[in-house]
Amino acid sequence: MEKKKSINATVIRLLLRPSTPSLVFSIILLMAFSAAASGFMTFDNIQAILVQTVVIGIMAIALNFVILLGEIDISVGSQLAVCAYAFGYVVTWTDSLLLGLLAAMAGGGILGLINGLLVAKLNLSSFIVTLATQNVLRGILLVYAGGGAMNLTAEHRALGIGTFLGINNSVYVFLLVFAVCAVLSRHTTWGRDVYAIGGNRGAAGMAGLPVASTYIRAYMLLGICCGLTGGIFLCQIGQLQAAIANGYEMRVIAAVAIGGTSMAGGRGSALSPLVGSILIGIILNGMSVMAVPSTFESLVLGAIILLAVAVDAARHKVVDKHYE
Amino acid sequence: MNKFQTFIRKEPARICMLLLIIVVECVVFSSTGYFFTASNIFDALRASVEIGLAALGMTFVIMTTGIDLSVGSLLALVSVTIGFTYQAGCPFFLSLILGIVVGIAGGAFNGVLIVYGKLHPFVVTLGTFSFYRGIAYAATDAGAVSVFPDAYAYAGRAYILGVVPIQVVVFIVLTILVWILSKKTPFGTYVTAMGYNEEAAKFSGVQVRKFKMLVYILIGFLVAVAAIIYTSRVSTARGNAAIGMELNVIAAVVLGGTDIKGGKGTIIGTFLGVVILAFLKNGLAMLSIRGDWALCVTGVVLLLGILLNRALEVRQE
Amino acid sequence: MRKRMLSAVLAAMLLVCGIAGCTTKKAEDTSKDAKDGTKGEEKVTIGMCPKFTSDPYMVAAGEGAQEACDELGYTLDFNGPVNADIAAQSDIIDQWTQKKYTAITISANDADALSPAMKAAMDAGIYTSAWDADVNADSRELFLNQVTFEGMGKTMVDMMVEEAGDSGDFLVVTAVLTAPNQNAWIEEMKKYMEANYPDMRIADILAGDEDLAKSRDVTLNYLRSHPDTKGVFAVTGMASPGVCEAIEQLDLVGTVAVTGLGVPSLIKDYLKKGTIKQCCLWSPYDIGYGAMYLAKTQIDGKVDKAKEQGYIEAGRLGKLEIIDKDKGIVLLGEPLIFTKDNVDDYNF
Repeated sequence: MEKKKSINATVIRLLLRPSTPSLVFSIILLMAFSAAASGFMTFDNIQAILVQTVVIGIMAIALNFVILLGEIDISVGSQLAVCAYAFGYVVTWTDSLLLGLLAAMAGGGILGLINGLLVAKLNLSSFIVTLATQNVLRGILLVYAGGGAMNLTAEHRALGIGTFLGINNSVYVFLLVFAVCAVLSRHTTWGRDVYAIGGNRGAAGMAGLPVASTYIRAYMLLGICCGLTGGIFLCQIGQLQAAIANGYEMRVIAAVAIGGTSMAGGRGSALSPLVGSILIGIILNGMSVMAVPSTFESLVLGAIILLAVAVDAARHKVVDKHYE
Repeated sequence: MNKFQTFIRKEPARICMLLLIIVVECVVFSSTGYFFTASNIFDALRASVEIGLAALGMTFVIMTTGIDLSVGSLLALVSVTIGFTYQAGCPFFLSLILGIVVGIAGGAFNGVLIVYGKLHPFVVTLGTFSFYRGIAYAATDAGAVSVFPDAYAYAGRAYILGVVPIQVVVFIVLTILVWILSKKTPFGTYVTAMGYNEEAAKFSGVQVRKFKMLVYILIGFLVAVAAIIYTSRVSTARGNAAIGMELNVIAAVVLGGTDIKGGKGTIIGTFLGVVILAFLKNGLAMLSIRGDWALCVTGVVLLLGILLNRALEVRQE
Repeated sequence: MRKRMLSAVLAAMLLVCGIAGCTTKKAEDTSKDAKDGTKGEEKVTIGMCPKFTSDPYMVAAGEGAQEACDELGYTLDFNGPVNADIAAQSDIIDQWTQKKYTAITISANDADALSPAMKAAMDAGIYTSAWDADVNADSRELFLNQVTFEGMGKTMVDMMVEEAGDSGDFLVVTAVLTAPNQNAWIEEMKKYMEANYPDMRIADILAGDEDLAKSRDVTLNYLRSHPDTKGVFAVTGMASPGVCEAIEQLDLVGTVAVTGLGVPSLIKDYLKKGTIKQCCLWSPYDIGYGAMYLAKTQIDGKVDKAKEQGYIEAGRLGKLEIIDKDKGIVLLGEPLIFTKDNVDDYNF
């Protein structure tokens, strides 16, 4: 009798986790799309969904920490673009994928550091700071790379189009990043500090938590992940133009929010952005598989975001009622 | 200590920046000689009227620790409402009214989700950012209406006294009205109080929910007016109007000194923020600076702006 | 004490600005009067507004225009929005009208929405024309069309028939849904197919939004679930590399045909690999160059004469035919077809 109760309790606890609504919704969508379109539920298409989600997904997993802190970063699209170019140049120049990745991630780290310093040390609003850096980075990129395109030859693109055991390499990277971030969030002091500070910055500060360095690390991690995704992006697509990744920030933020992380900070798990970005990937993929007229794309996306937020609020209400 | 000095003391950051911009423009443009004509100044403002109107409403939204990312999409939705109902045979005046109704409804929808649903404003308006534009595209099949009554299209390009564009007059009039709203009515006082400390305001008896709803309805109304102006300016109603407007609006409000964490904010500050961005955009174009560099410069100015605001605020305290 | 100084400094700055402002105004008022009277000998400035500046095609058009302006001794102001922003284009036209440029020419993101600004420029005495993407005919005197819409539709369908035969279902990947050129071309393609290849059908049109990744993704997802598709039309140069990527990744090279628009610098690798056999465009250098000569015809007051003759003199391009006298449409020429053999000859 006791055992049954505790199993029930565990099940209910699982159901009430932040990422559950999106997970459930993803499964529903998967079933709906596979019923509606014949080519949907194939290994190739499912893998395509994951591959197409990698770029947004990795950035979302890293952005999650920043949002948990109660801040934001709108410059991720521009960071991605700049780092992708850095990756391209270094790889073409040195013929080494590893050096290219290191360059991209280092570049991203520096960009993240700048954002972090401005937000944490100067105590400025993260929205405006990252809006400013978004503009500045994009402007510089357009000036220096605006007139043409950068192509990457096939032999350098293993990260994006190569496969290992039948699965695209970038999917492995995606899962690896998720694993690392999950560990970071639960098993490191920094991770726990992120939750504490996000929950109540003032109290955390007074309790002696290192607010500024936590912020800076979160932004640097995001920057490094933007660098990584820059490399993956170029490997997947094979070509860069100066205007790429324009508007990605909204998608990344939506992925985090849909996944269940609260924009107010302090609440959410590492699983949330993973589930959220995959859900968006399923929707976008399903829509083009079913050749839904592109006029409906914004409508569907918007409705999903609203639905996800409403469901999450309902979930939170239930949690509040039963557990507090 | 006269009123002028008090004024300067209260808004030193904004005045500083405005003067800085003017000084730079003076020095640089004395060679090209274009900036300081009345017609250029008014045209510079005219280009930013839509942003300005939305910014007036956004001030209150941000003051109550909210945000509204859906303004551009709502503008497009109102615009297509006006155009397509007119095309379908509605009398034009009725189309305008319908547009305003849609604007208010859009704002109210956001408001209901945020105030009564207690959902986070960022995500709600991120959703409606896509959703409203989606409706605009889907309902019109990505088409456009470009036939409007002559008077309307004419108003889009008309000047009062030969110099002042009609849109600028509308903007200034509405700024004054909203300023009165913020300073001389309970609405303004309560919204400020709610911004600083919502709990305390609630305990003081302020009907927090009602006023927050009004805030979102107000911005919906102002966006509808902006849509009317925008549609007459380009004589076209299409779903792709005002893409990217929201970030400019928020930038103007924050530049004007409103704290994005809520509480502090003034209509005059927002007005100055809008003017600064308008002059900046105009100045860069007058200098024939390519759009790519202009993006950089705008970003840097934004950064300098908030740094300056922060520095002067600290000094004041 | 500090604050009092601050307000004093601010007041002083205000005063200085006011004085400087007034003098500047007076000075330029007199010089402006002088300008209006002597347009013939006056410096000619042409404002050229592309759809957006982050496109190599547009950048190349600007360079072609610069070449023409260097020949003609004109000053060129090439500026546009960074992304396909309608309001920004409208504002730029307004600002150039303020600056009283001699001529303004535009490649419009939206034909209707940019017309009022162009009309206002026209009313202010500025010569207006359009290139690459037109505005409404009553707001500009001339329009340089790179190819006729029918020519474009025909060329693309013919290229596809060469590769994929003349029957079956085809996918079209376009730019943004509201892109006027693309929509006109698609209409012409449909008409041409109906008339000449009735067994060909455009099954679906998907928007690539001028984004490489998106164009690739929609193509990938679509082709997976519609394996009967015979070919894909990429009706914008920014989409064709993405479409090629998708076809390569699905291992459908040779099975599914690709054709459409292609910008050499972007499509080069795919042409050489054989994923795409041919694609077409026109020279953006030429269209930029030609647009300047259109403006020259206007500035020299020779438009009516040109309409009588039926052509416009355009420097190294020779004679450009006026294909529609009433609407003032000038034709650049035939589409350029790129294959792996000739793609290296072009550097845009």
